[in-house]
Parts: sequence; C-alpha cells; structure tokens
Amino acid sequence: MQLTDVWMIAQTDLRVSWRSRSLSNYVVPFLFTTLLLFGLTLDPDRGALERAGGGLFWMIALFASVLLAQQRGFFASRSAEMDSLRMASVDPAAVFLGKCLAMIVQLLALEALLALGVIVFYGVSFTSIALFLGAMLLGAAALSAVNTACGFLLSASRNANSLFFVVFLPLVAPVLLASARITEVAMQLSSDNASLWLQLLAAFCVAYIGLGILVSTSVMEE
Amino acid sequence: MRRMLMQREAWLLSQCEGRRARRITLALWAIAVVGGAVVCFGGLLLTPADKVQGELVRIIYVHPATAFLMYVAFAVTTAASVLQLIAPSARRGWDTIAGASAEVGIVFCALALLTGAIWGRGAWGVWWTWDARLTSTAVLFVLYLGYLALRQSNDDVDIAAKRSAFMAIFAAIDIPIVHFSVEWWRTLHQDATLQIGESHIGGTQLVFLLLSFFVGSVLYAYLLHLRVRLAVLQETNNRRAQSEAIVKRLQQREHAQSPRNATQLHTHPEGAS
Repeated sequence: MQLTDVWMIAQTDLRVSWRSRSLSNYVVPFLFTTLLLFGLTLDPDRGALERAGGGLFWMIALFASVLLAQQRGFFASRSAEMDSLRMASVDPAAVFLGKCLAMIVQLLALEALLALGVIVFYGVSFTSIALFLGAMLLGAAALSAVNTACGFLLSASRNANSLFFVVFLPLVAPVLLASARITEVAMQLSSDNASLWLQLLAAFCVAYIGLGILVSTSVMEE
Repeated sequence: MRRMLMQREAWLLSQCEGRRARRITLALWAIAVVGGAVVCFGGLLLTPADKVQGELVRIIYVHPATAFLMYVAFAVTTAASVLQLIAPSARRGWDTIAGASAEVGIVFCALALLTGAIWGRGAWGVWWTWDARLTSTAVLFVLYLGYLALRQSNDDVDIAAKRSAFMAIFAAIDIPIVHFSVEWWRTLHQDATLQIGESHIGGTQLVFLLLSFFVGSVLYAYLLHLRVRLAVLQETNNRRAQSEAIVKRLQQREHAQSPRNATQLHTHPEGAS
C-alpha cells in the first residue's frame, strides 16, 4: 500500500465534496437546525442543555456523519467509482484509508463548527481543550472508520440506505459513549478517569480501522 | 488447517441430515424438557427464599442461564464467521451455523433483557434503568438484529455470507464491553454471582443454578441443531426445485424442437392470421 494512493483517494473525495457544496448546502444547515431543535425540545432555559451538552454534541456529530455518508452515496449501489478503482488496481486498503481520511477531515471541520454552536447556544465551556481535541480526533476517526466500513459492507445490497442505520448506529454506540464521557470531563461535568476512556476510544479506533481494511479488501475482490 | 475445517464442516452438516439428525433433535428436546421441569420444580419449591430479596431470588434459575447462553450463542456466531473467512470452500456450513446461532442468541438476549426487567421491577422498582450492563446488552441485541438484516440483504449467497461474517466480527467487539461493564463502571447491576474459585451462593441454590446452566445449554444445542437442520432442508428443497425447473425447461425446449411441434409452431402463426 502506498501513502500517495491514500492521499490521492482522500483528495479526490474532498474535491468532489467541495465541488458539490454538499457540506455547506446540506450538512452545515442540518447541524444548525439540529442544534436549535435540541435546544427547543430539551430546555430553553439552558439548564438541561449545559448538563447534556457532551452527549448532544456527539449525537449531532453522529447524525452529520450519516448525512455525509448519504451525500457520498457510496453504499447505494455497486458504484461506477468502486468499479473504476478496481480497474485501476488501487490497493483496497488505500481506498479504505483514503475515504476514511476524507471523512475525518470533513467531520473535524463539522465538529469545530459544532463546538462553536454548543458554546454559543447551549452555554457550555471547555476547561480542558487538549482533552476535548483528543476526543474530537479519535471520535471522528472511529466514526469515519465504521461509516466507511459499513459503506463497503452494504455496497450493492438491497435496501442499503435503510440498512445503513440498522448496522451503523449500534456499531458506533461504544464510540459515542466514550467520546461523550471524555467531552463531559473536558467540560468539568464529570469526574471520570478521562485517560481510560481515551484508551478505550483509541482501542476502538484501531480495531475498527483494522477491520475496515479487511472488509474493503474482501469487498473489492468480489 | 483449511482441510480440517472442511472436514469439520462436512461432519457437522452430516449430523443435521437424515434420520440420525431427527434422533439427535428428539434426544436434546427430551433432555431439555425433563431438565426444565426439574429446574422449575427445584427452583420454585425446593430452594429457599433469600433473606434480602425474598421470592425474587428465584429469577436466578432463569436469568443468568439465558445471559450466559446469549454469550455462548454470539461467541459461536463469531467463531463460525472467522472460520468461514479462513476456509471459504467450507463457507456454506459455517455460515449456516453462524446465522442459526445468531438467531438463537437473539432469542436468549431478549429473554435475558425480559427476565432482567422483571427482576429489576421487583428489586429496583423500575422496569428499565440506564445501567451499563442493561444498555450494552440492549445495544448487543440491536447489533445482532442488524447482522440478521445484513444476511438477508444480498441475493448472492457467498457475498452475503462473507459480509455478514465481517459484521459478526464487528459486533463481537461489543461482547467484552457487556461482560465487563459491571466491573468497569459502578452501576446498579450486581457482580457475577458465580466466579471461578469463589461463589456467593451454596447448597440447593447452587445445585439448581448449575442445573439451569446445563439445561439451558441443552436447550441452546437443541434450538441450534433444529435451526441448522431447517436451513439444510431449505437448501436441499431449493436445489431440488431448481433442478426440477431446469428439467422442465429442457423438456419444454425438446418438445418445441421436435419436428412435429416445430411444424405446428411454424404453421400456427399462419393459421392465426
């Protein structure tokens, strides 16, 4: 596997996303709307919002990652993109890592916007920025790895769009749990041992990326 | 290694076909029914009530066994999935076992959640609480529902088997979290009652608890065997239907190609016009 291949795939995905304006036209407005709706439904006087800020942040990030996957349309059908990559004999591991990297970059950008959103709208404050950044990075990597792996698993499947939710959401439950706990510690809402949660999240990241590489190799050889 | 896996797969499938398979199913069913009756009798009438929990303690003759068998079933699914990825030529058998075990595991998982909720209502006063083990078990339940949905999502049997095998491995990552959740997080759910080297119960309670595990295991084996048998019969039936359809099609073709019918076919359009 060559790193240049990984970078090429990531660049292509990012360029496609940039040109289609999917992030700015669909995902960012979705984030903003969800932030507002959570605020309206939970507690307009901010009390509950401040307490649940960590969990809500990751729920919205999760929804955003689902929307990103739908925009990418990777699992909808046996795509021409996958066939051309197969024809070009690009290493499947590079395809997986490239797509994963592109999603991490997009998710990190969205998480940065989201962080601003929860600070402004929910009135939360982060006391440990480094811890929060660690959670953001590892959380984005784990979400992207599972998301991309599910994209491969469901390519050319019947009802892939609906099935994606059934398969993807339970798989990321441990990631959400760990990321939300670290964010709560970073917001001083919890006194949990953050380093243990970070280790758990890192372990999930490694496991999911490893499995994702195996899945992509197997699916691209079909 | 692959040859050994193929031989094992062939042996396992042979145990699920024919008259012998019927006898195995019947024997397992008989042991499960008799054992279940003994556990019910002993658990309800012979064992004493608990000093703290009272009659509520009798749930231990059902709940721990169902939770244990949920782990066993999902572990078998994971193992069979790994084996089918290692030996693709023996995929059919291992995939059938993986799918059957996941279905049985989901039943045990639902039973564990249900019996846990019944106990929770009596002990904690609520049917459900956001306890780490309860939540992670519920996640495990939906994970394997996703696994079963994925199994049905592809027309190509080989592709579906391979992809669901990966999904099973993904889902297996959650199993240690469920098991160790009561140790990692301070939650309402109690620690394991039975541990190697030490146990929190004894006497008749321990005897019937261990018996419930044995009977549960036999029940699991019975359900798994029955499900694999059903899958094998289904496949044989499909293959037979496919062969019959091919034979019928060939006969139709031969019939159409015979000189007399060919003339008829040739002349028929003219007659019609």
